[in-house]
Order: sequence, then structure tokens, then C-alpha cells
Amino acid sequence: MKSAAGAADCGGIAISSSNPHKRTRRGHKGVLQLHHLPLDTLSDIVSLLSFKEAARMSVLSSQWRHLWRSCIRDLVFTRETMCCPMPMSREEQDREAFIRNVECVLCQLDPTIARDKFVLEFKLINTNVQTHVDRWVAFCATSRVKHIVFDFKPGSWGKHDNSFNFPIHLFINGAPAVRSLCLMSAYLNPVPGFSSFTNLRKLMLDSVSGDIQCMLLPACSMLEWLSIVRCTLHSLTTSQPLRQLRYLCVHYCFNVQKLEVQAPNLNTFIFGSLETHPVSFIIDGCLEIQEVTIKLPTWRSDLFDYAFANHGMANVPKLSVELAIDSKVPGCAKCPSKFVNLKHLILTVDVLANDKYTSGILRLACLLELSPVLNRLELHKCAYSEQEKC
Amino acid sequence: MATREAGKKMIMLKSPDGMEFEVEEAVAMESQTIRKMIEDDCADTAILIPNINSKILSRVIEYCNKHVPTTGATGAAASDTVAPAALAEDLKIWDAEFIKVNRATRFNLIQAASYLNIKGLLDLTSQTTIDTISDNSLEEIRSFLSTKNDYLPEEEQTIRRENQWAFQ
Repeated sequence: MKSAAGAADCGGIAISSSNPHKRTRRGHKGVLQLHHLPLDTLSDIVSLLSFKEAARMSVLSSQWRHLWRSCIRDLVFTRETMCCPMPMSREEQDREAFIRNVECVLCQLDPTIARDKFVLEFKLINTNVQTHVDRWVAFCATSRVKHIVFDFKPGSWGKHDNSFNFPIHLFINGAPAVRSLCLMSAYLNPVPGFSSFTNLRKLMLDSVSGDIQCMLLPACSMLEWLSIVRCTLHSLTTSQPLRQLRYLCVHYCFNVQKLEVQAPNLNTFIFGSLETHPVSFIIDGCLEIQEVTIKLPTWRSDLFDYAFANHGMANVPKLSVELAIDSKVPGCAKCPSKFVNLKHLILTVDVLANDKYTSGILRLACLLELSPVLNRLELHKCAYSEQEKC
Repeated sequence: MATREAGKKMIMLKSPDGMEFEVEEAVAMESQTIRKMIEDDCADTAILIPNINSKILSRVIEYCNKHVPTTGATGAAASDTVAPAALAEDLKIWDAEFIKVNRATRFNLIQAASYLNIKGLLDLTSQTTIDTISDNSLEEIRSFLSTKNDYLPEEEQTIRRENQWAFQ
């Protein structure tokens, strides 16, 4: 670089500092301090701190307290952030401390300021803290939180017994701020007049019961990512196509009879069922479909015909199926549908084996005949197979 | 510094203390603020950068010179023969050396990076500041930030109690 004095005297232009927030405030001595920086810059810096570190800053001075209260964008309430690691403490004490701390933080924050994220993960299931839950969800609604996560039973598996009601009526105005919602171990009360989330892109429900269907009303047309796991669900249907939907996962839900989701631009579909009856599902009309995974584990009955029946998977290039087959079943009596576009097939098979019979297993070979462009086949045997024959 | 090739468009930047810096347009455009001015055809003469003195401005230009993605500005670092991963590693080491400055300079660099909208420099200076805050006690942070404790003792007690979880 070179320095050239005097060239800018005529016609030189200056970057104007018309934005008042960008103007720097300096102390008496003229030495720049961090808190003299523009508010939006300070806010960016504070948001780099962890939730805990940022809260500590509030003790520095009233100015930093103000900054913390207004700048913190991600609220993360988990055992890690809110509880001290005391190995001897009882579950009940931990829970009380957690609730007290969450309430303490929220009562300091200004609910009119928009926040990016509200995460609450703590084992609160089977306790009587519905009023707190209602208040936390109300905070999310008023502070226009973009990404909401409520997990009342983190890391657990299985059916929930005493779920909290997630007060969905608080979002009755369509909650345009909400971009993603993850809800675990909760109950959704039917709300008359609820018209879904107008801007929701990502929805994840795990161990949720109640009115799940209300989340998929036509207004939810922005939905790109939908995962419904271990939920109580009789049927999943859409009255209008979800045109933005790219990812759909319906895994191990209870009482499911029927799955009819219109998603013309779907890319990935994952379906898993533990039901003893075959659940009807159709993914026809998804021209963009790239990958389908079907998991039908542990039920020791032959599900070959069901797995490869006409589910509208003819165009799928990559298919992964986990199922049990009975070696005694005679060969392909009922011809499964044709897979004209299938290039990659992954089979994970649990063989209900009997040494005398192989016809059931040979049905796998007829799959190859039905897949004219297949170039990659992976065959895995389930670990819980009774015998070693596959 | 490498010899400047002929035909490269140069931009004149002027600090409030009267120093002028002639830089390649590509280097100046590392700043989104300046880029916008150039794209809007508002930069055919010198650009006055208010609030940023020549000492800080020269450091900012030094940073942009190093980080400009095209070849030519800084000999070996931008050579085609260097693998991208090695280049990134080289930049990281260079950044670590670059940010070894006193507190006042660092805050001035944050201010400049924010004002000129240079994301890489803003991330670097902000993260270094955050690391200092994370690694120190409250009293050390207070002195590092030259923050006066304006609480009454009872007030401070209340705030500490309200945020007790953060001190565990």
C-alpha cells in the first residue's frame, strides 16, 4: 500500500454515519472501551458467550445487566446449563432448583424482545408443574421465539404416562415467528379455531399424543421437515398437498392405521412400524423422491408381501428395507410391485429359518428381477436372527 | 509485497487524521460497506473512513490484504501450488499473530470491522474478546472491560441471588 497525501481534497466522499446505532459512544478520556461499541455489535459479541457466561455478565454493572437482558438471543434451559453438578442431590431437589432457576431468568428478561431460540430439556414428566409449563410456552409466544424445543423427558424411550399439555392455543394467531418446533413427551389438546403455524418449516414430535393432525392443517404449507416418532396417531392425512415438504419420518407410532401424506416434492421418506397389523401407506406422486427407508423390525411374522406391496415406490432410486421373512413361505405367489428406477437396495433381514425350507428366502431373488437398473445390493442379517442361515 | 500488476483498479481510502491509503479494489471490497459504495458507483475518488485512525486503518488493510481470495495480492500465500487446507492453516496462524495486540487496539479493530462490515475480522476480534471473558473471573473481566460496578451492595446481592445458577 502507498500513502498519497492530498488527493481527496476535491471531490472526496465520506461514508456517512447516518445510522444512530452505528455511532460510537466514547468515554471521557477518549479511550475506546467495549461498552462504547454500537449496540448491535455488542449484542453480536454477547451472543457468542454461552448462556451461563452471559448471565454472569449481568453482575458486572447495570449496563451489562441491561445488555444481557436485551441481547441474549438463545435461551437454553437444560440440566447442563441450569443445575450444579452435585452427585448426591436427589431428583426432586434438582427439579425444584431447575424450575426456580428458569423462572428467575425469565422474570428478568423483557418478553417484548424477540428471541431466536428457546430450549427446555428436563425430566419433568409425572410432576405437577403444568402452570410453569404454561408460563414458559406463553413466554415463547410473546417473545416471538423462532426455534422452540420442549423435551420433558430427555433421553428416554417408550410410552409416556402423564404428559403435559402443550398449550397450543397460545399460538392461535398462526405464530408467524415460529420456524421450528420440537416437542417431546407432551399432549396436544384440540383447540377449536386453531389454524396451525403459518411459517413453520420444521416440526418434530416425539412421544406426543392428542390432536397431532391440527399441526398439519393447510396453513402449514411451509413445512419442509416433518418427523413424528413414538406418537399416538390413528391416521395421518393431508387435505391439501404439503408442497414444501422434503423430509418425512413416521417412526414407531402407536395405533396407526393409515398414512396418506400428499407431498409432491418429497425427497426422503422414513417409515417404521411396530404394529402387528400392516399400516397402509402410499407415497405415490413424489417425483423428486430419492430415498425410502422402511423398518418393520421384531415382529416374527413374514412381512415380505407387505413391505414390497404397491406403496407407490416405483420411482425410488435408493430403498432400504428392514424386515422379517419366513423361509417356509412358498416363492413369489403375489408379485410385488416393479422398481423401475431402483439403483441401490439395502436389505436387513431377520430370517425365521427352518433348515428344510429355502423358498421364503428365494423370494429375495425375485426382487432383483423386478429391479432392472439395480447396481448395488447390500444384504444384512438382523442380529436377533434365530439361526445363522441367510 | 508483490509487484502490483498493471491494470488493477486502485481505491483511495482516507483516515480522519489525513493519511491516505491506496489499495487494490479487490482488497477494499473485503469490506461490505466499501463494496456497496463501489457497486453503487460512489467510489471513483477517495473514500473518507470516519472514526478509524490511520494506525487502525492500516491494520485493517493489512488484514484484508492477507484475506483477499484472489491471487496476486500476497505472493506465496495465494500461490496455486499451495493446497487449500494448508492455506487455511497458514491463515489461522497469521490471524493468531495478527490479533496479538493490546486491548484498546483490539476494541478499535472490532469497531472498525463492525463499521466497515468485514465479517472475518469481526469474528476474529469478537471471538478473542469472548475467550478472554470466558477464561477469567468476574473481577478480572471487570478490569479487562474497565467496567465500574455501579450497584449498591444490596442490589448486587439480589442480582447474584437471581442468577445464582450461573455462578455454580
